[in-house]
Amino acid sequence: MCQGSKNKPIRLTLRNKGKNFMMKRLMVLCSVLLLSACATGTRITEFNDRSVGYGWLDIKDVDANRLHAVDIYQFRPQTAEPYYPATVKAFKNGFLYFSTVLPNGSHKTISAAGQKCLGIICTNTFYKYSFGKQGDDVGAVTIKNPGVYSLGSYTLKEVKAGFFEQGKFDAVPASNAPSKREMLEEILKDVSDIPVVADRIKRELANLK
Amino acid sequence: MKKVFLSIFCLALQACALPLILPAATDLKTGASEVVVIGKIELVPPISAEFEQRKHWNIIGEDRMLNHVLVATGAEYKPVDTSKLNGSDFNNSLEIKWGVPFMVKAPRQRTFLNGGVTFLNVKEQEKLWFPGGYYFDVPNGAKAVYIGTLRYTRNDFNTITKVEVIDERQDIGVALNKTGGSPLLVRPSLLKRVTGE
Repeated sequence: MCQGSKNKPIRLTLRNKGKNFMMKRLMVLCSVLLLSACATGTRITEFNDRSVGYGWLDIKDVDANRLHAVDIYQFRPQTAEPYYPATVKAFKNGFLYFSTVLPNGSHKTISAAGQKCLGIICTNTFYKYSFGKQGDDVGAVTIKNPGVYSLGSYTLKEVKAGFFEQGKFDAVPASNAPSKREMLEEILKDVSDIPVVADRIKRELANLK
Repeated sequence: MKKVFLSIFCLALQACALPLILPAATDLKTGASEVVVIGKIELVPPISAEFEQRKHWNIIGEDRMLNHVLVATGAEYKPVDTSKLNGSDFNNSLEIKWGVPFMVKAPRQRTFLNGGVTFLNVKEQEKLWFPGGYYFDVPNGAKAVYIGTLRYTRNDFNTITKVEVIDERQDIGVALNKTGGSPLLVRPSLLKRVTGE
């Protein structure tokens, strides 16, 4: 599991040393950047003091139809690495997302990003749905003790905006969301290699009515 | 050329909607239609530059946008539209450094504070909004008024949970420090809550 911070813009400077040399350097730079995308964060191996946070998004009313990233943001305690990239998977006509590494504190689903795809072919437009850094009405949770926490299930709906305005959307509680049990059972399939987390989810499942 | 054209185009689009800032006052001298306004705006807990703001090397004027709160004012109560940053909402706005007493020249009239905004990340347009709904009056003959400290309190998720007006008249002296003006010339006229919303 990896907790990443947002990449800073990087300016590539190419000197006049021949095309091949430049291409090689560019390739190396690209590789380093790709590798460092996750390596900049702290690798978390100890899960005893961490919590599972999970949620579900229905995106059929917005432009994107495939989510590839959901970030959870840690508001408190403040930290230099506040972004927790969640695991995202298509599930029950929507997208299930979860993180198993949330520390105690105040967290909120901060953004979801995706594309419009048809089969394996996707458009080159990337859509980002930002939930904003103000407000606790959507996808927020305060974790006081390690456990399993729901961040809610929401339907994203496009809102009409002016021609020159950025696209807008609303997040409303989803009426067609899978149950907590269904979501946790799905997450359990992915965390069997982390006994602490798996046990925690099993206990939560046992407590669900 | 393309970049220059795009920049000009963007500027042209925004030209009609840029916020207009109330001018800072350097003394207590005012025209007949003006009044000097002294006060302060606070956020509790304050914004952490290290953890909450993000800076970019390629955005001009970013520091100013990050460290100030822009408060829309007007002769009538008209709450700002928090779904988008609309320049026309911010005509005659206060541009205030958090927690530092300010002194500006404003129109001599009952003035409403219609809401504020501050940036956390200019490039990503991450903002925090602050509710308005307060006003101050200008007593007859007053050259300068003290409107108090407007203190916003936020929770972990930046929701504003409390708004207070606090009388901290020692700020008058701080604001007048370099002007040589006398605090006795400043009339208290604390912000009042708009009622009947």
